[in-house]
Amino acid sequence: MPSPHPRVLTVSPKELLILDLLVRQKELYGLQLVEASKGRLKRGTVYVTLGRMEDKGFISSALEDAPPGVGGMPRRLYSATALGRRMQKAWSGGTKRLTVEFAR
Amino acid sequence: MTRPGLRLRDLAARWCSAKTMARVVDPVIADMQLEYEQAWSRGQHWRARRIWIASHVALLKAVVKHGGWRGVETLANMHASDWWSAARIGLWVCGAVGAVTLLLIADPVMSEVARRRHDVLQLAVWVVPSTLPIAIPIGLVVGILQALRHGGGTPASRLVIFGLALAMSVTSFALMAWIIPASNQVFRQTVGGSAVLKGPNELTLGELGQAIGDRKFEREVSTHRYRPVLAWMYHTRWSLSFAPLLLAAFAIALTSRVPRWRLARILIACVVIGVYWIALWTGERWGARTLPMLAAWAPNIAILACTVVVSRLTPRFVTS
Repeated sequence: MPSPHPRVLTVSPKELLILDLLVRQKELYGLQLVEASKGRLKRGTVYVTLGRMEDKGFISSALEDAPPGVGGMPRRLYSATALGRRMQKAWSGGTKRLTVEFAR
Repeated sequence: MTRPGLRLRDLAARWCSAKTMARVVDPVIADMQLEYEQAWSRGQHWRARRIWIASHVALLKAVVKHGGWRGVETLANMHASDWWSAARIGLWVCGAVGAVTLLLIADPVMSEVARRRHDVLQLAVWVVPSTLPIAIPIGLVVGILQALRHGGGTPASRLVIFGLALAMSVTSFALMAWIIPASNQVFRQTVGGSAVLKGPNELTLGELGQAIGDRKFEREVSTHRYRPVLAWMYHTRWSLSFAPLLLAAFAIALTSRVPRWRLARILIACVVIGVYWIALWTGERWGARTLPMLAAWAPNIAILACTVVVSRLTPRFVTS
């Protein structure tokens, strides 16, 4: 049952860092995000944060085919959504206010 | 060469939801496979092994963190029916623990009362704390099997069970670390009628830890016990405290994987509880003097192995 109350969207420092990186680089794998963050994101927990951000609608992901010649399981490629870009702009621009998103 | 992480993925698929698999488990394993195979093809075999270990640790951390976050989310979205189901589980588990406790204390209490030495209430206060660390794991499994007799339950009910198991683990730990030793000592002094020196069973966890390295204690107080036995007692207090959590995981696996045959579930549960106590008894008899830590943790390792075996009975999701 959808909640009758509007959802308050907040951005944690880690989420903001991921949004910054995704807005700058367009599309990244989880491991590339860890490398680009210079130690601020950890290889295991980055996917928990990414999953939460997908739930909030800040990012989207798609499975990519296995890398040629290497095989293995397909990797997930992440990119910022329009909402994610707006949130990144709002929070990075010093506005730092809660954005209320009414039930979609 | 078998790709790394496939067995782990297969095991995770039996416990985690499809969403957790897609969002957390699969990406970590995909990264591991890529890095591992790149390192291996360059001849960097030690680096590949390091990647394998680091990825397993990363996956464990990710699943625990994701589980915690999903737990909070589930708790926040619980409806009236979930709360009713939680209350039902709580009643079954507490009722089963109470019933097992009564069964265990009945004989000693009644025989003492028959001799007219003490009244029932006074005896119960002394005996019940010592019985609870045994009654809790047995009662927890019985209660869970009864509460989830129609199937594996919802995420909310599983969360409630783990919450109960955690509370029971903490209670067991507090009992074995401080309350039972104090209660034993009071009992000995009451029966003895004067100040009695503490034996190993009357030492708190901290005192037991100190006694392991104290030769004076071994010589004066515990002449018939050796230091490894004290170490076994110390580790057993820790390992028994984890038993409710492991047995709760086992009971959930059993209700999820063996949903139809209720008798089979009860039989398997009885066998596993039996295995637990046999492993504990065997550890005390033969392992305590040689490998105290392993002997103390062996029952928990046995339960973990049983949980993995039961989890593999039927696949929950299609894995590739």
